[in-house]
Amino acid sequence: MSNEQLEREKFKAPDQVISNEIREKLVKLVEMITLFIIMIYVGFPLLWLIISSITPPEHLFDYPPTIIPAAVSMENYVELLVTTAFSTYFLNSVIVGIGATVMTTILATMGGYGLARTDFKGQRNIARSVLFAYMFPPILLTIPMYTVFYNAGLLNSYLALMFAHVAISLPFTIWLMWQYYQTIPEAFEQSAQIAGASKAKAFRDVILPMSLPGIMAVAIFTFAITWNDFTFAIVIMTDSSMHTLPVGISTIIEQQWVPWGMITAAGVLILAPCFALVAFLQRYIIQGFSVSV
Amino acid sequence: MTLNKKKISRRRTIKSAGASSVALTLAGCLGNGTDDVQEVTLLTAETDPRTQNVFDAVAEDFEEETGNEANYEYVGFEELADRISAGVRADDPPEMVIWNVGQMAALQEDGLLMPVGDLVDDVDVEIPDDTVFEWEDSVYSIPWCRKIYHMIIRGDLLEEAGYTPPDPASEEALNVDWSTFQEWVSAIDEETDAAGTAIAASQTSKGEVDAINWLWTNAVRIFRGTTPDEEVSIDTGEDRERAIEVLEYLDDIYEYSVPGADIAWAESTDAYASGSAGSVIYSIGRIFAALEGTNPEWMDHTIPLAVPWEQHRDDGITNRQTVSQFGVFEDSENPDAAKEWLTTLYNSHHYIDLIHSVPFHNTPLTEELAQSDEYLDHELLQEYPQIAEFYANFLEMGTSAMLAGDDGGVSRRLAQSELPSHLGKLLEDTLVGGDDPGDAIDTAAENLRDI
Amino acid sequence: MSKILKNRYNISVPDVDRFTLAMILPAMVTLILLLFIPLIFAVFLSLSDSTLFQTQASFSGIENYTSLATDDLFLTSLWQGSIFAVFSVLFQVIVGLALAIIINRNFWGGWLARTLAIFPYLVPTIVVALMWKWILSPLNYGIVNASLMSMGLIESPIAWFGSVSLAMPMLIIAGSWKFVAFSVLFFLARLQSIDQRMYQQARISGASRIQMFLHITLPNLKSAILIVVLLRLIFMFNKFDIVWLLTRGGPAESTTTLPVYIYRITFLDFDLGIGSAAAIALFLILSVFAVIYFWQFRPSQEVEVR
Repeated sequence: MSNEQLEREKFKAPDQVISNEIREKLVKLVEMITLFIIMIYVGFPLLWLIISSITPPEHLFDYPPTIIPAAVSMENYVELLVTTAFSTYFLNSVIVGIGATVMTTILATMGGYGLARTDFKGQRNIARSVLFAYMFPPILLTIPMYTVFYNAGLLNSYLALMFAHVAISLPFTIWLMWQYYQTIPEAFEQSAQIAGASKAKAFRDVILPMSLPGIMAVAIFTFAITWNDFTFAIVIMTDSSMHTLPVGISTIIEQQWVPWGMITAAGVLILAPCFALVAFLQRYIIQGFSVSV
Repeated sequence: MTLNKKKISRRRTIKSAGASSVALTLAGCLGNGTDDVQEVTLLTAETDPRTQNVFDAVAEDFEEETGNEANYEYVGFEELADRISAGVRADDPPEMVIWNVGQMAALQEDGLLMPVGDLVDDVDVEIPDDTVFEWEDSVYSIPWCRKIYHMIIRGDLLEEAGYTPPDPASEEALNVDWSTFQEWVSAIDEETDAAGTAIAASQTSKGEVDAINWLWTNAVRIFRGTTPDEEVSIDTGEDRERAIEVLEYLDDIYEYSVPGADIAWAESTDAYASGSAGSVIYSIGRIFAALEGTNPEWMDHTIPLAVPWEQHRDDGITNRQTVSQFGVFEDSENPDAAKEWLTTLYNSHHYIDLIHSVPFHNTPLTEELAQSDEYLDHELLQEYPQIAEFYANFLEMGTSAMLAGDDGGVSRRLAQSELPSHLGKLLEDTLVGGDDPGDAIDTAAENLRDI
Repeated sequence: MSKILKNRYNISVPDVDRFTLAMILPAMVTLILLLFIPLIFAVFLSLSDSTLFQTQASFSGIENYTSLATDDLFLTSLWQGSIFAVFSVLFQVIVGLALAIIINRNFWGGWLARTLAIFPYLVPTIVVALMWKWILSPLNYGIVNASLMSMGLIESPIAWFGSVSLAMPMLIIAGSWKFVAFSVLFFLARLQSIDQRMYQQARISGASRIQMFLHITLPNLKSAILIVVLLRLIFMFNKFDIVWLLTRGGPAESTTTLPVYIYRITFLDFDLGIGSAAAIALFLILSVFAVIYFWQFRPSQEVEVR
């Protein structure tokens, strides 16, 4: 190797290292900029909601609006909690949310398992066909559902709204669990059964613990459905003391004007538990969706 | 001031929860009509907390007088349809609903309403013929108030822009012509932080009210002829020409308006109460309720005006009024108890209280009542006598007859044109969509004929 | 084979059946009672001249369907609904993918970024809609317009949801705020299950980040993408609440999607017969699409057994 070549090699190596580093850094920069833009899209509306909620009502319409509020107070929260039945709505939503989530989780876990472990022709098609339930616009489901619950004497009961939410979350969650169980080899139950366990016991002691992440995904999906629902709640819960949060909020708006102070405060109070739930459980939630696709 | 303070007390919420669950259990165990306590359910979009308080007071008296119970469901104006349909199909309609004439007509056409003509004769309140929904000599709904919509303008902004604001009690307030109004809104638009006006060019019930008031005030009739043979006339002859002129004028002043397609009821109060628009069509009552919480200092500067009109088209009508009605469902469990509830309401001080619950929005059915001491004995009406006078003048110059043929008979078919908001769409198509006024009118007429 | 197994391990046949049946039955009964019966009910309604408040209606054959086929607004809604669904899903998948890949790394504040990326999925739509209306308002208090004006980017407030040209794109952006999280969940979950050794090996053999993305990340994500696209397309096609709350299908019908059309016809025109026919039509269109999709892409065949 000539000196010249050596020289070239000498310079080439560090040169390439640098350019690799630069490229890495560039990619990172692009990533961070992308993240920043997306986080503004996700986070700014939330931030402004929070700021507005702690702005006293007489400053809400200040012109021009400023990012740093003119004054800070909890007035909106106090007014919301004292003058509206917000806490009742909240309690109703929590009750229905927990009930529907537990019911769906049980039904989907069982149904999904049953489907996955039954060997019959067209099993795959049956499992898929549950998804077809989402192809019918839910707004037209309210009228027949009212009839069903009226005849069951269940109108204005938590149970009725829970059933409605179970019905709309079941198709997806059964499908999710069905997919999930396909990732668990049948050998697990079989070996339990060889050891003398019944099918039910094998399911309970062996399979159930293994399906916890899937169950988590089911629970989160169902909670999202039930915490969100307006369409069914407004028809099934006709009594204002049984209103859930989304319906309750719409009655606070009153059609004629929007009390933005109270509405932003209500928004923050509704967001908070969702945020907390994801903040503390994110690892488990992500795991749940992982095995199911 | 406690104008818009909500008083949905927990006590009431808990009480009604208890009552309804007991009633549900009873209904479930005993079947229909065998128990002594009859329950009456009223569906209404009258969600103002002050109105809710009056209904609660009626319930107490009703229970005392008859031993029956009243239950109220507060539902959005549009959700009423969903809720009633579900009830009717489950064979479980509510006893009563408060809605407008148009929806009463739809309910009656499907055979759901009970005739309430006897009530009209029996109650102590005078009920004018042009405010009820009557079909083949039977009255199917009983009105409780008129709702009047008119232009509202911020006097302080007008002054800031260099004009003297008119006195609400004066003739001037009732006779603002097109060019004056255009001058005002353009000046407000240029000289202040606010836009000149807020025209609801939207396919909403607010858009419909704006459109109808602009058209009616300017002598455009949407239907003509004798009931039930009335015909859509907005796309024919003089009506069409005038309608085009109105739309062209609105297109001119739309330049000074906040964007209209976003505007329904809530947005129009918002536009005014936030100082975004210097004028808006609504009622003083609703505007005051919104200003209370945000900019109470503007209440004293708020001036009612007739919707601007061209002087030469004087056929005496300055506004189109909505009449809010009670309908009783024939196949509900306790329709007779519902009538008793109505009697309790109409034959007591609660009736005036109900009208007073949103003053300057709920307006008496007759001039006589509007001038009575009983009605005028109210804090806000005393505090703003010049606005009270405007309302008295305005009541006289209005009509509720947009739903009727030339003979004054209410048409079921025409009445139903209200909810789909084809005229709101007319404004939206022209002002926001940029359609040619003539084409937009043709589309609207076609839609109206399809009903 | 199975018979031998059963005999050898003494698994009785009736036990299997009863157990499986008991597992599936509750879910199936719920579905049939609350979803499939209403569906059949709607089919009957769509063949009748039923109005919203009428309990007695007469059979009208396919009249409702033929009147739909000639209704311009129905066809417009179908087209606009497809635009809304397709672009919403594109947006949700692309933004969700970018977000998932970035927050999959551990970095300072990653926990917060992950929470922010996922939790919108749990926020009720009515809150989402009010939030966007509040910040995007063309009235004086709209912070976005005010900020853009103070930066000198615009001269007067823009009606984001109130102009014919902007309403649809803004609806897609605001309406996707909540559902980006749905794709993030699926993508993040799948990313976390990719064997890290694959990346290490690739790095050793000198692969660039882009190459690793193309040859490791993307193939691993393929099944997740296929599933998310399918599910989101179905959900977005049927999405009513966010559209109604933000634009009511306006201005000048520019955001009227099929569910909005159905709502208008049914609950504002009181024509339940035609509304049901449109709903059945929507159901059929989506079904055909789903069948083709399953047949073409086989998204659920890609389940890996680990």
